[in-house]
Amino acid sequence: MRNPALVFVVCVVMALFLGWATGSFFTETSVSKAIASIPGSPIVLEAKYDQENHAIVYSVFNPGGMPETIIQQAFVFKPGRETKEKGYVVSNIPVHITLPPGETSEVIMKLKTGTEKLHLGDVVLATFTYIHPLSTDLYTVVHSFEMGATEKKEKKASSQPGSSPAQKSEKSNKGGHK
Amino acid sequence: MKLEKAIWWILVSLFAVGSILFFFHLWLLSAWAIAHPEYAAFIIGLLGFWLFANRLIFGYAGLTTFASSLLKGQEPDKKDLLLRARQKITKLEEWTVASLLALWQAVLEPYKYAYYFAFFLVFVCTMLFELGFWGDEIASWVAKGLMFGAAIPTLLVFGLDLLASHYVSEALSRESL
Repeated sequence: MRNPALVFVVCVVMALFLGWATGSFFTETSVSKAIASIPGSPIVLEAKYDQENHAIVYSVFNPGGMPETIIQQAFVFKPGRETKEKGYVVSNIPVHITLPPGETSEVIMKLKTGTEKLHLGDVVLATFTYIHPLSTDLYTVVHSFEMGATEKKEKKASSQPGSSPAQKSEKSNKGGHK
Repeated sequence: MKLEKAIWWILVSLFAVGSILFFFHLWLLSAWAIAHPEYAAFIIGLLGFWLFANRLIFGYAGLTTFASSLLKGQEPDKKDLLLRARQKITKLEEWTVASLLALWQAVLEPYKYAYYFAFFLVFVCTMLFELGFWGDEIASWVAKGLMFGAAIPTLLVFGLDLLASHYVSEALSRESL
């Protein structure tokens, strides 16, 4: 380095990069802290029928920054034309499935044992009840799965009024925030 | 010399007061540090590395000042120069100003490499935390904050070192003519 001006320019460029890196680092930490404190509402991305185990496997995405726990499953079976099975309701199956933040996890729902395998046109309306750490309220996600439907319909309760309890209905409101 | 000592003592007392407040959980400092560990690590890195860099920063700044004033044709005070270099020599009148500057620069050399080595260790540890060899996300944030805090005095040392070595070599080559 012969020229002091060149030294100055090099140091200014390095200082710019250092300031940029430091600033974006602190922005990143504060943004990720903010995101980590927001609970998201789980989204059912995909549902598949597992013929062997007579169960439906749901891929559930948790878009928020907080872990959520599914504490209850319930489902309504609506028979299609091809099946001889009658419609039935199984409710309040206690489970404990934690959905890690920002990830897609698999949730398996076993259908009633002894019943027939699903046929084309059969509809299973599943209700997942979940909780998150910020409050003591219970929230629900309702997903309707139709056997053999070409497009996997991903629906939440809000998009099908009247068929199920409203999404995020507050069933208990004891404590509020901790 | 006065500013160097003043800054050194301010930093030492800040460090001491901060440590006392932190360890005895006084004045919300520890609560704040626990809530924002990356900011605390940044401040610790900045203060701590500045403490070690202080002599280097002021040494290279002083070298640059003396050498550039020599290049402008002024004759700096040799005793003042020697005092700032913290060296003792005999037969001061036989030494030229440029050779005194070269002595001062040689004295600072081992400090500089020890300092760079400490920064390198912090940098490597940050890399390992960042790659997930140890610890969780919070640990990597803390290491990164520490590294960025340490990088600020390191950049000053780097720039002033380049500048000082340029001016000292100019002064030496002029005097040898």
